[in-house]
Amino acid sequence: MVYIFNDTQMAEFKRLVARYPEGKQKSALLPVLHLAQESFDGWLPTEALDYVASLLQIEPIEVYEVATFYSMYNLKPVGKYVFEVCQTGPCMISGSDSIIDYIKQVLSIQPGETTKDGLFTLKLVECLGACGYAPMMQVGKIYKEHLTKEKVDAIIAEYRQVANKN
Amino acid sequence: MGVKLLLEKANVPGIRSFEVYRREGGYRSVEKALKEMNPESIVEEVKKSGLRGRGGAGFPTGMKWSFIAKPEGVPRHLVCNADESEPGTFKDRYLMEFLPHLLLEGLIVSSFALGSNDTYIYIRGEYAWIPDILEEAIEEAKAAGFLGKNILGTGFDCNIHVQRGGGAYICGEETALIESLEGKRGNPRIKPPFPAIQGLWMRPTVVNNVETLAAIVPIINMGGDEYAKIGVGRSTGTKLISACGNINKPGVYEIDMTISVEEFIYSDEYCGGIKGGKKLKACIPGGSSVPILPANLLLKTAKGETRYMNYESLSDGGFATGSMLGSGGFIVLDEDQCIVKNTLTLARFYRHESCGQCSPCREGTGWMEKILYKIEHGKGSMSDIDLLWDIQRKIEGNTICPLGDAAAWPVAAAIRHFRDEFEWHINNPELSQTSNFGLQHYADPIHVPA
Ligand SMILES: Cc1cc2nc3c(=O)[nH]c(=O)nc-3n(C[C@H](O)[C@H](O)[C@H](O)COP(=O)(O)O)c2cc1C
Ligand code: SF4
Ligand code: FES
Repeated sequence: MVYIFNDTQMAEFKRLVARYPEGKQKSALLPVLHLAQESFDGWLPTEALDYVASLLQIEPIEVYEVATFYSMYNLKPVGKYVFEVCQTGPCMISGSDSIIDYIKQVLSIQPGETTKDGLFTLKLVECLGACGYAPMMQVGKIYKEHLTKEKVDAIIAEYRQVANKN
Repeated sequence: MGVKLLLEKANVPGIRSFEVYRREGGYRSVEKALKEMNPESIVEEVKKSGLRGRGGAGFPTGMKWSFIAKPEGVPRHLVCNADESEPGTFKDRYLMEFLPHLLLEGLIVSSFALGSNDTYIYIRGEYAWIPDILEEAIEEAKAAGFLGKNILGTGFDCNIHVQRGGGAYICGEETALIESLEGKRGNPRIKPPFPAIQGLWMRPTVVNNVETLAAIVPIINMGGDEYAKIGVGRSTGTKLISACGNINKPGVYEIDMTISVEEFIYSDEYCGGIKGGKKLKACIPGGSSVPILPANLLLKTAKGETRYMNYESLSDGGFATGSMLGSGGFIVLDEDQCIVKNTLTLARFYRHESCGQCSPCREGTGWMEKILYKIEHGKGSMSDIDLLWDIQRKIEGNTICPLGDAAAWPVAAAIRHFRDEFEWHINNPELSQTSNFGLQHYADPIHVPA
C-alpha cells in the first residue's frame, strides 16, 4: 500500500486546511487523520502518520501524540466492518450486554478481535450519544440503533452480501 | 402542551432545507440583529433573557459574552461545542440533525454579537454523518446571502467551519476543545487565562453549547424580557431533555422548566412511564456526571415538596439529597437495575476518558473502576466501600478540570443513597451474581409499589 492521497483525497485535504488561518494548518490534523484513515484501509500505520506530518509540515511526533490520544484512530489493522458497540450505563441498562454476547457468539470473536475472513471487528466503546435508541453500535459512519438479535443477524448478513459482491 | 421555542418546527416536512426553514420564518433573527441591533444591544438582550449555558454548567450566557476581550487588531472567535459525549445526552445531535439551520441562525447572530468572522463548530467525531448535513446547510445559507462576505449588505463577514473531533469525551471541556481545534491532544488548560482572554490560537474566544446558541434565535425574535417570562426563577426559557433508560418513550423533549419530575416521567407527552409497567428505582437527571437519586428523593425533595425539572429544584438539598439539571441527559433506572453495575460502567467511562494530566484523576478513576469491578463480581469486602468513598473525595476539587469531579460525584452519590445495596453485594457474593437487590426501601413515594 502506498500512503499518498489521490487527487480527490488531495482536494479534500486542501479544503480542510483552508478552514484555518495562515500558519495554523496544524489545526486540520484531526480531520486530516480521519481522511487518511478512510483513504488507507481503515487504519493508520506509521507511514500514514508520517505522510500526514509531511503534508501539514509538522513533526511526526505531533501526529503520533494525537493519533494515540483519540479513540477513533485505529493504529492496528481492523476488519472491513468495525462493530463498535456501546457499553456505557444507559446502553447497559437497556440490554447492551446481551447484544455484545450475541455478537461474540455469532462471529466467534472477543472484543478487539477480527473474524478470520477479515470482515468484522468487534470493539466495545463508550457512550456514542444514542442513549435513547439503545442498544446501539456504530459501523463506519452510521449508527445502528434499537438493536435486537434479529437486527444483528440482518446487519451481518447485509455486510456479508455487500462484501461478496465486491 | 408546553411552550416550544426550539423544536416547534422540528416535524415540518423538509425543515432541514433552507427554503422550507426560511418560509417557516427562519433567519428573521439575523435580519433583526444585523440591521436593527448592534453587538452591545444583542448582549444586553441575552443578559435580560436569563439564558444559562445548556452544556451542563449553567453559566449565564450574556455575562460570559460580556467578558470577551477586545484587543485592537486581534481576531475573536466563537466556537460551538457540539462534542456532546456525556452519557445520557443526545439533544445536540437531535438539533443538528433535524434543525441545522436553527443552529446556523443562532451562530450567525452570536458571531455578530461577539465579532467572530470565523466561527467553528467542533463536533464529536462519531457523529460522522452530521457534518455533511451542517455543511450542506452552510452552503445554502451562503447562497442566500446569510453567510460569507457582507451578509445582507451590512458589511459583516462570517464563515462557519465544521471540525470533527477524534473520539474523546474530554474535548467537551472548553479548553481541551480549543487544544483539539488546534490539532493537539485534548488536555485541558490551566485557567486563567480564560478563553475569553486567550482561547483559540491565543485569541479571545467564547465557547458555547449547541443548544445555548440555538436559543439565541427565540431570544432575539421575542426579546430577552419575553423569553425570561417563560420558566421559573433563574431557570428561564425552555430546555431540551434527552430521556433514556427504562422508560416507554425515550427521546428528546423540549420542556419549559415549570413541569414536575413526576409529570416528565409519567405523562404520555414525555417519557410515558416506566417500561413494562415496572417500578421506578432511581434516576440520573442531568447526564452521567450528576448525582443519582433514588425514586423517593427524585419526585419529592427531602422537605417533601414536589421536585421540578429546573436548575434550582433539581439541586434542592445540595448533594446530600439533591442532584443537578446538568446537560439534560435524563437516565431512568427501573426496579431491575443494579446500582453497583451501573456505577461500574460510569467509573469505567471516566477512567477511559481521563486525559491523564492530573494524578488524582488518572489514578483515582482507575482505582474506582477496579474496586467497583471487584464488588460487582462478588469479590468485594466491606472496607472497599469506605475506600471508594475516600478515593472519590480525594479526586474532587484536586484536578485541573472538572472531569475529576464528574468522575467522583456518581460514585459518591451511589454510595450515599445506595450503601446497603453495595453491602448486600459484598455480603451475598454468589446471590448477587444471579439476582438483584431490587427496590427495598427506595420506593417511589407517589406511585407506591404494590
Ligand atoms: C469533562 C467535560 C465535558 C464537557 N462536555 C461538554 C459537551 O460535550 N458539550 C458542551 O456543550 N459542554 C461540555 N462541557 C462544558 C464546557 O466546558 C463548557 O462549559 C460549555 O461548552 C460552555 O457552553 P455553555 O455555557 O453554552 O453551556 C464539558 C465540561 C467538562 C468538564
Ligand atoms: S481532571 Fe482528569 S481529565 Fe481533567 S485535566 Fe485532570 S486528568 Fe485530565
Ligand atoms: S450510553 Fe450508549 S449511546 Fe449513550
